[in-house]
Amino acid sequence: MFEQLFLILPMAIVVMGAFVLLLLSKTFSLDKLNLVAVFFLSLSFIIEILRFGTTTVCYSFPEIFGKMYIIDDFSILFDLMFTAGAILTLLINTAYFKSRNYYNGEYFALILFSVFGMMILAHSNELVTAFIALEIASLSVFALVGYHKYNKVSSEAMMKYMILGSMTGAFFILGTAFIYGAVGSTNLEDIAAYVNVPAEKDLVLVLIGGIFIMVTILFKMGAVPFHSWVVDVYQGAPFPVTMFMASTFKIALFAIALRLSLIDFASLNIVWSEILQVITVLTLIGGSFLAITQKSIKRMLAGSSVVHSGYMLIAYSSIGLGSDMAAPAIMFYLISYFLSAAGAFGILSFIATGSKKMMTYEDFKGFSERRPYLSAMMAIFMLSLSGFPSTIGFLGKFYIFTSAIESGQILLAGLGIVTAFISVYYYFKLIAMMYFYPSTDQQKKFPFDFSGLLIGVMAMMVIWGGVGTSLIPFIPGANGLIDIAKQAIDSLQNVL
Amino acid sequence: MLENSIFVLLALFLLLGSAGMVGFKQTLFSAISFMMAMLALAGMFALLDNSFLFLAQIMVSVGAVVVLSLLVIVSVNVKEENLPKEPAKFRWMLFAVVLVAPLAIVIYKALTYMPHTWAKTGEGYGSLKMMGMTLFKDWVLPFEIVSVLLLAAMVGAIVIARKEPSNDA
Repeated sequence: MFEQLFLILPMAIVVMGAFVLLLLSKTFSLDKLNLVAVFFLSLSFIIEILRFGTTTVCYSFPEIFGKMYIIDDFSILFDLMFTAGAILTLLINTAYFKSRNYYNGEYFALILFSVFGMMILAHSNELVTAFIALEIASLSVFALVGYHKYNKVSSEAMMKYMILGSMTGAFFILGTAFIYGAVGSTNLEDIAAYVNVPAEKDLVLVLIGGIFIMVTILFKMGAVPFHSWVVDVYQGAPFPVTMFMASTFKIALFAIALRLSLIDFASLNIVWSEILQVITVLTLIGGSFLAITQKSIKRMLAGSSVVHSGYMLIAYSSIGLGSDMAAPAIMFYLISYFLSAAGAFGILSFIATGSKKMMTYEDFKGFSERRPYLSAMMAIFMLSLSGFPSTIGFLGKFYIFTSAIESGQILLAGLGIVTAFISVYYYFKLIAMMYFYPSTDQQKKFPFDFSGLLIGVMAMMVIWGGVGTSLIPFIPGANGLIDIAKQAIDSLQNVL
Repeated sequence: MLENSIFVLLALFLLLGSAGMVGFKQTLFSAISFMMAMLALAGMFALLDNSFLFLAQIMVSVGAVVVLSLLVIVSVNVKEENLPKEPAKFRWMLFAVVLVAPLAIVIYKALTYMPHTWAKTGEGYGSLKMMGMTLFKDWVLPFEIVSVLLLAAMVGAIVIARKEPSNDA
């Protein structure tokens, strides 16, 4: 009994934290609420990190929940990323939400609800549970996007995201219905058993259902035929929310996508690969075009996040073509993208605390004279996002392209490398603006606080993930991270 | 034979209601067409001998959703001339129909692949008791996390809709 309770403890702590925050939201100040939220999240994080690698695959409360809630290293690694992402979002933006008067206590509860939804999504072994979890996460994010409700851009972004998101959410449930019609169950193992046993069965129904589910997942990832919301929503959302969406929410979609394609539809992967190849090409080209044409840094990062989805889709389509490296490559890339994007958006919101204007490339002219520390950190994150050697982003892209070549998708790998070169343009433009232009303002003294320290730690991790070995115990370097990713994927495949 | 004719009638109402909801210019008519579609859907559930879903459909979709939207429409009371002008509305709708036609073909194709043999329904199928047993025995986890979903949605809606005079700046 207590063992079972211990298994769901991290998830329970997060949702209890959300309830506590709701109750306290009127009596506590924002600072204290922030600390309470971070306390609950880090409690959950610590339990998960102690558990990683030590638990065998099991179900929580199998006699009550059935086989709906699975616990394996795969989901634990995702939980770690979600809680870490939320903690970083909250801690880096402490100054930001104090500078804006539209924040109130419910903000923290919504973030915790969203993390709870994502955690269930990573653990769910059943399609209806996954759908509800996805909706918990997205409904909280809808509200967070529109948090600045007296701002027209923010409200418009929320409406756009909510209407399109709800509509594509319906595709998920329709696909689930089709699969249920064919298999008679929505449990992933039953579906896998149905799909993987070759018999004289028509898999058309499962295939169409799977495609509909994929529509929802690709929409939330921002892959190109479904990308029209990305830039506007990322721009309309307040900076902390953009950071949360880009770094944390995006990862959650890959949790369900990987679980589906590795367990569920493993034998249908050949069909996926064809569809995914087309979408990958569109995503890489369309995303690059989106990113190049932007003047504002926030919009540029939004466009580039589409390109990063494209890189991950390269490896995703390689899964079906028999590349063992592909799934760990996606996990590694997720970690690397999480660190770099959270850092870049974190710096942006850190800067935006003091000014309310839209930040364009022009505003960054001579930034290194005004804020040498922050611009150095920003340069590191930009190098990592563009995939410069000796950063974690380079290794991420290296594994992705290796998996593509391993599975024989040479053209896709080539296109990926070309878009990586294109991305150098829009990332290095920012570095050039910061370092090669004289400053128009005088150098200002800026306070070095806890947020600045966190950003520095993340920049160190970005570099350590690119060059480091396991010289320093407890801090995984490059080879440690890929081992972690492989371990997680192995735990996923041991189920069958 | 009887259930087939009832089904055709209900399907006709469902289609008409859905078309009317999109087609009418007056929002009040749209809402009432939507109500018609929802009632027809409830009839479908009744035809399937699922009394619980039939009741839930009427109570939730008709009783709560449509009545609430009617209430909003009536209390806002938009005049005919203030409604947005959509001169090429039906041309756009035709365009949209052409656009989603492939999707409709895919869905139709999926439906034709549905298995034709169905498991026999047991005693008391569709009753409240069976529904409760299913929800609380086989589907406890989804059922419980739906409550969190509703709470999160409610908190979000309150945050967005609440008026804060101090923040008007």
